[in-house]
Parts: sequence; C-alpha cells; structure tokens
Amino acid sequence: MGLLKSIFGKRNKPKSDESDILSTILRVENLTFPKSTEKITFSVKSALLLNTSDDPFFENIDASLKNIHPEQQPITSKIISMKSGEYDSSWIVFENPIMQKMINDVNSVSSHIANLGLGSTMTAAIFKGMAKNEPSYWVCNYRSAKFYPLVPTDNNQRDNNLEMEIGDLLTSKGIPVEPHANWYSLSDIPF
Amino acid sequence: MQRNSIGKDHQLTIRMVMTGLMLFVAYIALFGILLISGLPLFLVLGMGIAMVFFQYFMSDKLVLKTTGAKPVTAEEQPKLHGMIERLSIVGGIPKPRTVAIMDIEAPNAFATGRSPNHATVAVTTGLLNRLNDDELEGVIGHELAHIKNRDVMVMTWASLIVVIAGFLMQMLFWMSLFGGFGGHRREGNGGQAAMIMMAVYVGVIVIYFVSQILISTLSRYRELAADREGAIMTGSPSNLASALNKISGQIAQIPEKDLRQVEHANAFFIIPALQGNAIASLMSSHPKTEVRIDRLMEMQRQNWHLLR
Repeated sequence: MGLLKSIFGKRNKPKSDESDILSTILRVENLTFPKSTEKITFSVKSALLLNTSDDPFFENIDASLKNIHPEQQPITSKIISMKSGEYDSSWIVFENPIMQKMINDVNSVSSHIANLGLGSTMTAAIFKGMAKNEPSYWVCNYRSAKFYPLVPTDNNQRDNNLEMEIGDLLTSKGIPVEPHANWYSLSDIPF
Repeated sequence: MQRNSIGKDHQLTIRMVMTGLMLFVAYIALFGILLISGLPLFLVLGMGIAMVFFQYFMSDKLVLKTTGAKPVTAEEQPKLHGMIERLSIVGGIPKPRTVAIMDIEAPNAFATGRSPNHATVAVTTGLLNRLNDDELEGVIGHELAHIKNRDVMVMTWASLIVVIAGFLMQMLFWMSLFGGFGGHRREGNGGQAAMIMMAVYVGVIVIYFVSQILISTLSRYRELAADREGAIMTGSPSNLASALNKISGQIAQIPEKDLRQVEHANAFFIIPALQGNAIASLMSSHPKTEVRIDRLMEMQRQNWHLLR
C-alpha cells in the first residue's frame, strides 16, 4: 500500500499505480530539455508542508520528529521545522545530499504524521532543483498524489513557460502531473 | 522500417480514407437525388463547380483581403522569412510566395493557396509577440505541412458537395415557397410530384448536414496530419505542443492562488471535468487542443527524432 493511500485511506485514492509517488520525481534527474544541454539537478533540500492544527504535535514539531525511528532505514536527513507566516501552516525542511535518502525520509516522516492521525494536515511535499539554470520546485500535492512544477521569479511572478516545459517533461517520463488549473502557487517556500 | 512507422500514422490515414469514402457515398446520393428530382443537374453542378473553382484559384488573395494580412519582405521580417525558408527546405517544398502579417492581438496563423507554388503563410502580431522562436517554428512547421499536404485543394474540393447541397436547399426552399412543389396543380399527378419534391428536399437537407459533419471530420484529421508533418519538419513535436498550450490559453489556466488558500476552501479538490459539447465537437474543423498536444507529446516520448 502506498504512502499516500495509507495517509488518506479511502477518501483520496491516488490514481497512479506507483507505490512510492515521491520517488518518481527521480526520473527527471539529469535529463535535458529538447534543444538544451543543461541537465535537471536537484538541490539538497526538500520540504513537507502542513496545515497547522490544535494537535500537540504542532506545539513542538522538532521534538515530535525526534521520536521517529523507522524500522527499515534510519533517518539520515537533517530535519528542521518552521512556522509559516501565512495560512497557519508549517514547514518541515529536509536536508540530505543523497536525493533518494531524502525522499525516503520525507516518506518516513509523512508516515509518522499519518500514524498520529494527522494525515489530513499534510498538504504537499516540495523538492527543489535547477531546470534550465532556473531555481525550480516540484510540488507533490498530497490530495491528488500528483506533481506540478513551480518556477517563481522576481516580484511574486512565475515563469509559466518553463513550468509548462517542466510539466511536459514530467508527463513524458510517466510522472503523474496535475492539470494546469491545479498548479497553485506557494509563496513562502523556506529554501 | 522504423522510420516509416513513426513518420506515418496509419490509423489516421485509414480514418481519412474512410471519411473520404463516406463523402463519396454522399456525392453519389446527392447525384441520385438530383436525377430523380428532374432538377437541372448540369446547371446545379456547373454553378457549384464554378464557385469552388473561383474559391480554389482566388483563395490566397481572398483570404489576404478579408483578414487584412499585409505581405512583408525578407528585409522587414528577416527572422520569420528565414524560418519559413529553412523549414520549407526541410519539408521539400518551395518557400511560400507570400509571407504576411496580420496586426491582430490574438495569436493565430494560417496557410492558403492552391498549391505549394502559390502558397501564402500569414501570422498575427499576437503570435509573434507571445511565442518564443522554438514555438513559432512549431506553428510555421504546421502551416507549411498544410501546404505540403495540399490541404487547401483537398478541403476546397471536398466541400463542393456542401456548396451544391446548400445551393439546392436554397433553390428548393424558394420553389416550395412560391410553387408549392407543384402541389397546387389540380390536374395530373401534381400531388405526387409535390411528395417527391418534398422527399428530395428532405434528402438534400440530410446530405447537406451529413456532408458538413464529414468535411469537419476530414478537416480535423488533416489538422492532426499537419501537426505530425510539421513536427517532423521541426524535429521537435514539443515545440508545437508548447505553442498550442499558449495559444489555447492553457497557461492562462495556471492559477495565481496559493495552494493553501484552496486547501482551506476545498479539502478534496473535486473539480468537475469540463464536458465538451458533443454537437459542437462534431462540427468543429479543428481537433481538441488536448488531443493535439497529447499526440505531439506521444511523438516526443517515442524519441522518434533520433530516427530522422
């Protein structure tokens, strides 16, 4: 059973057959765009976005996360949490030079939060990278279990053209992609 | 071998042939009706053919006049001319005689002319402003593919049946209005003649609408074929896919709202799928943009360009 399925149970059925949706993003690593030589690279950071609730978990997220001891593999990422100034939400930021390990840790933390009965507070996992030499984000919406690209530019604008190109690339690699109408912005990504 | 399977879309070809065959049947039916009705067959045919001939030979001039497109020289638009020239060479057709620009904000383009030697390619200023060079190349490739595939000729002659049926419909309408199809005549078999003419009228109306649907279907297939041919010319199907995305306003669909704003408003993201109007899509001359983009991206996924 996939992580997202375990989190949301029958309410939100991921439409993809992937058992680990987040790892599908690894398919674009080192790819190049048509007529371009720059490869897509990932940064060493990613994040989990949560809607804060009254649960004690959110009073001290860092302390709560110290209790995670996954059976299969230990957490190797550096993890810190921070409150968002907007929308009553929190970020859990992961840092790890090895992308696959970082994804495993995002999965482990997500499972832990789901096991606390807080699955519905998780909004999205966000990965950062460089696409065509532009800092870009790949957002996995936990409601739909689909990715979409986000390329913020100056003055709270977005490079929609590059987003479309990244979206096409994701689709071409069989990664589940949100419809364009769901490519929502995220204003205060902390990395 | 592999190149053939990638360069051609056999399914699409079969569909076009099937549509052509159905159109042929519609032609036969129309001529049959004309013979039965006793209407002046050669007069009606002659007028239809004359109209289509006029359209066929004058299409480039007529379209330029009606759209307000202004021919531009290579000195005025060196990039556009250069792009068209290069893609024409790749496509194995002569460079279109006229390159024109319409001063319109809406992004669009068209190709016209009865043959590759009498072709015109026109683009709007909106298209030049919004698309990057790769995307513009994708659109130009599509338009040149229309020229290469002689789509103006195919569609003009295919639509002859609609011209004739439309002309007959009008003729029969006025006949029924003023002559009552001869049913007012008391002597002889006036009533029977009126019944036959009424049946002819209904038959012509049916053929008119069926032909419209068939021609629209054929047009959609020709568009898909031009997408494919254009993508082969440019070597990058995603260029046209990206342009279509922009032209069709899909970029405009990307929301500006923050994901969390929507999460609070609607936790489950139940977004009803947009239901297209079935009749409108039957009569549409172009396939749905989503279909075109899907097919182009499928080409891109096949890495077919490595086989060129």
